[in-house]
Amino acid sequence: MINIETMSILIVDDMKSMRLTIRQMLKNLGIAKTLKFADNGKTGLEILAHSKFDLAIVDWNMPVMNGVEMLERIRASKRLRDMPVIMVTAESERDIVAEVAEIEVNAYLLKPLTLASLDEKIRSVVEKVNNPEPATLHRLKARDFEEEGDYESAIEQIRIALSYRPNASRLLRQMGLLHFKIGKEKIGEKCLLKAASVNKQDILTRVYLAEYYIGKKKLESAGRYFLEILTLSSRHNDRAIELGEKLLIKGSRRLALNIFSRAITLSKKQNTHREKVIDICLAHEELEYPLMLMDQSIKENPSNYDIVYKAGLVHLEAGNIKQALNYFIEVDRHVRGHIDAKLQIAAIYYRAKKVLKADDYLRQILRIDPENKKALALRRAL
Amino acid sequence: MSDSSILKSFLSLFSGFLIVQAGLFAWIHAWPLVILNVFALVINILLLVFCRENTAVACRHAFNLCFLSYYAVLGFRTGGFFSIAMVMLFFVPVFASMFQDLRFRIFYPVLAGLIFMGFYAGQRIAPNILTADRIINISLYRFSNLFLILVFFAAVIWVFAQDRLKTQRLVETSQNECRRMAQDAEKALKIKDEFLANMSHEIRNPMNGIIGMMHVLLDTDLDEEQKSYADVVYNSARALLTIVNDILDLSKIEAGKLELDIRDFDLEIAVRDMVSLPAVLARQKGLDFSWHIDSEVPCRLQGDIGRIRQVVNNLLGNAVKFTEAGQVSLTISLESETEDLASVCFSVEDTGIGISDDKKDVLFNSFTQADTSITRKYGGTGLGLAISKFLVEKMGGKIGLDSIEMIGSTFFFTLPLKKQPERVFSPGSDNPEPGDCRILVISDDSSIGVSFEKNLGELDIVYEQAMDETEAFEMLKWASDENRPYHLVIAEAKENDEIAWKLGKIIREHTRFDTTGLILLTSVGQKGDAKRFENAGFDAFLSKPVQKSLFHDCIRQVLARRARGIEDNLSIITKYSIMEAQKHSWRVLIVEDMATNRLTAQALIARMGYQTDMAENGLKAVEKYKNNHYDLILMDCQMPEMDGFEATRKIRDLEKAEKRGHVPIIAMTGNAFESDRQKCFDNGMDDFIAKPVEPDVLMRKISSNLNTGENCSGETDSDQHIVMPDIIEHPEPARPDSGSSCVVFDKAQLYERFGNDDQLIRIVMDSFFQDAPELLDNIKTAIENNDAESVRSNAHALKGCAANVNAQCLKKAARALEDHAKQMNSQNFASAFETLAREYEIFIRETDS
Repeated sequence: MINIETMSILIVDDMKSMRLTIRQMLKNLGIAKTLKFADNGKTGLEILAHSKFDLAIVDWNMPVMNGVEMLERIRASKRLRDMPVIMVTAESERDIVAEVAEIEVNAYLLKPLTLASLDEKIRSVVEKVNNPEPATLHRLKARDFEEEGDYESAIEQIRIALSYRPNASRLLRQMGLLHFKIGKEKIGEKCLLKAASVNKQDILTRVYLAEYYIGKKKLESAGRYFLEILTLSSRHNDRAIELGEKLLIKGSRRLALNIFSRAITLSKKQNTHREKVIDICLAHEELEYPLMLMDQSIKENPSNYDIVYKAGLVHLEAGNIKQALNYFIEVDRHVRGHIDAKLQIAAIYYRAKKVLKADDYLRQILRIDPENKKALALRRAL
Repeated sequence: MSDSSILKSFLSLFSGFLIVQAGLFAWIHAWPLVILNVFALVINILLLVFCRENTAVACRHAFNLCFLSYYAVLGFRTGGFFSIAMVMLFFVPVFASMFQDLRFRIFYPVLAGLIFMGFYAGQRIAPNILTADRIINISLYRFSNLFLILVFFAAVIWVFAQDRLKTQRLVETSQNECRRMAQDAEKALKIKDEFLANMSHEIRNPMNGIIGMMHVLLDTDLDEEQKSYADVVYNSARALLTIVNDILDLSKIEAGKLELDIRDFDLEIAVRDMVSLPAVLARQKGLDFSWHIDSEVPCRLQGDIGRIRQVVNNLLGNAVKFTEAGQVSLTISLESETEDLASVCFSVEDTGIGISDDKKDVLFNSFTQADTSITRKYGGTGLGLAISKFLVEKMGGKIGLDSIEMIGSTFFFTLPLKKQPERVFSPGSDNPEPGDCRILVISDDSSIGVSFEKNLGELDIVYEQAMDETEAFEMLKWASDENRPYHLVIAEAKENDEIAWKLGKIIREHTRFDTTGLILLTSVGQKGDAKRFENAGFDAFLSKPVQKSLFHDCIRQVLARRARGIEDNLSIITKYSIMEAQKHSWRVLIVEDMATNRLTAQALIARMGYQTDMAENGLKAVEKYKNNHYDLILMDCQMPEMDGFEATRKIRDLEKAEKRGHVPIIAMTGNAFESDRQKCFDNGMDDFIAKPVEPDVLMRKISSNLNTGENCSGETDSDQHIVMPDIIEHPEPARPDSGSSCVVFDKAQLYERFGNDDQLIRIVMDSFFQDAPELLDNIKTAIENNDAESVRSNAHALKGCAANVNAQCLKKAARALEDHAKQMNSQNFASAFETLAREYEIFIRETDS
């Protein structure tokens, strides 16, 4: 039993002002006797390594090791995993909430903190730890059985837990994973399907399902789940793009492109993802979509001439010679001595029988690099 | 024969023998033996006299003892072990068998055995043979003894025979009793069934009245409140009627009276219709509902669609009822197929509470739900599954379930259904229009229903009305005499369909009304009514509410049918058959140069129930279009002689020139690029399908382009509708529009948050002013190093700090920078940082004051 007045709390936040705020607030509320502080996840774990706390209040955004990573480590440790954790986030970003929910956080606190919310959250978390629901008890029992390798008993415990809370997606998911472990894949799949249909926000279940379908070579089903996952969280973007590539190879073009565009739109690092997708598409002879992406990134960031040049190349390949020429000229105008661009322009003019213009560009190249073999060859052809 | 009489017969037999033997002994002057005999005889006679039912047991004991002791003494006196009297001891078990008690049955034979053994042991002691020589050699003595033995044998056999007879008689009476009870039970069951059937029927009639009148009531002008009350009454009445119908069904089933009504139907139309209600119920409950017919399932089938609908509705109803969250789906797939038979599997899957293994077996029994607690929680009679099982089995199918407790159940049934023979549907253009006809309307009420009247009005139908069936009949006769007969009689049944039924009967008895069509429009339709009215001679049977177009088509079909003259064995026109006719009259032209592709497409489309026509190239397609009417054209793009684009342009030109309606053209093309698609649209095509054609996609495209209003599959196919370019929208980074809407420093809010604790607030503010410059420095360095990630994390931290001290403008500026960093818009960093620094200065000034 945790006594709210004498409990011990670990506060992990990189900002001194926040730590102070929480300390003062707790003091005013008369909560907790022992308080300890850490300024990031790593130091927090170091403190936890040799002392036990009744509760941890962890900030989400921290240098060195952020809150999510710290929480993951806590949940992975046998000694610490049952410690309740309250996560502090600056705003209710859907991404963060979904991400943290995957690793079983006990409560969220939104910044800016208020006395009332801090008080209420701590009390409700302590109350739940002191008087766990029957479903929770059975779930913990199931976990013990699972660790002993007694999957049948674990399933039985989850079944009982489910009878208390029949629509808890976490229990359903666990049931599914246990069935996978004992080799009953069909039942496992059904459990996961129910978990997914019961909880539209459950990312983890969808990830498991998608991975299961990838294993079963049902890429379309996996793709559909990844589409759902992408709208919920950007954490699995890389995996989704990987799957998109597979789908593209397999010929499910539309689904693949949908996955790509969703992954890019909702990504935190749009540019990196966009470039990656462009490369993938080009590698698999998909021209139209990457062209669109490139046009878009050029519109946003006209000064990235690498992309402009690349777009020119792709347009050239797709047969839009006019557009390609525009891009190459654009590059040539802004980047000094871009030999490749000049060469492309010359080649285009040559093919269009505009010999004088072609020759002009070739001369420019040779002025920079008199030894350029391609230019020389082209000039000879002229 | 009673026990005492057996004893008495033994006694008299024994007494007779004693007298004879006494005489014998007297003759040889063996006086002690005579005395012995007389003594035994006296006992016997006394027993004979005093033997009654109530003393029978004691008498039996006395008799046995007397018999034993008599022969013991006689044996001892007449030669011991060698005496012939020893033989008589063997009869003791026979006499002992008179006892019911097993102990005595054993006791007396044992006693006899002991005596016998005693004589055996004592045979060397010279017995006191009184008159041994004299007696042993008397042949008469021997004869009498042998005779007695024989008699006793006979007696023994007789006793056993009697015994057997007795048990047989017992068995017979009990058998009779059983038979009588069985008959009673059967009679009771029959009475119960009859009672149930009568009861349900009797309940149904007033229920029909209620429901019919509720229809009428809901048709009138009601205010919101009244309407909601009336709705409740209507729905409750419907629910009650369902239960009554269930019970009636069950009693019919048990009485073996249920008959199937086999007719043609179109699976797609039927399923779309039967899922409409469960789909609404599921969505009301917040469940996902989907249905899907596999493309390989043939649509035009024969069977009792009413009963199939009942089973599907039942299973779907259960699925929705027992699912609290998740989804319910209906899948129809093909199990196997022969030339004229398709085995179709319907499966209903839910994510409900599931059923444990031990409950699965009893689930299909009547009045059984998985658990009595379930009955309490979810209600229901528990009849549904029993009825479903029976119906499915009656139709030659199988029903079953898969279920995992807590996870969900799948109920499925497979039915062997006959395929419809190929038929050509006549185009309906030459049908007479209802406007030119004489129509008589009759209702079971004095006035006809509002919606019916509206329908008639909207279709510009002129009609006359008759008050009852006699008047109607008179009117029909006059009209016929005046040689301007009615073409059509429409009977409305709001509450009671008896009048309509009677009228139908009368009309069809007279051949001169053969050209008059009969339509029933009912509010009180029941399963099997279609059959009933078909037999009464009706041409069409429609359940209210009826859509205007459907009603119109119905009238036209009936008129056409009657104009052609009577054809027997034409089945009655129903809502389904009209909808099917609509669907089947659609013609699709397939234009494709490759024969294999053409035939595949044709097979697929014919399977869906549409008519098809084919053309090898664009030129032929345009020719065919000129001379025929098509509802849809499937056009290949690359073809010899004339390609699809040109053919489409020509067809569109013809449309304009001849003012024909717009025919949807779907392009089939191997290239799925955006530019190709654009080309299709530019040339006047309406949609396109990528080759190789997937059956599902084809099905969806065709039904969506045929203006059926819905897609073929109930699933939301959102992935089909996401057009790639649209989805990429960029969230505009929030720009700090300082001064317009945000407060630099929300002091009041801050105080409120910290419970007006000045000291606490001072500490918090101090620490903020320690942290913030450091963060700003970090951001500055990060921007100089072009380290977006560091910019992001520091801006995020500053955002949090600013929020903590309610510096709203600062927070906004920090967030703007964070957003830029997220999207790697490094060129915006400098300006965003400038804003941020400025906001910080403003905040310091604000807090100082």
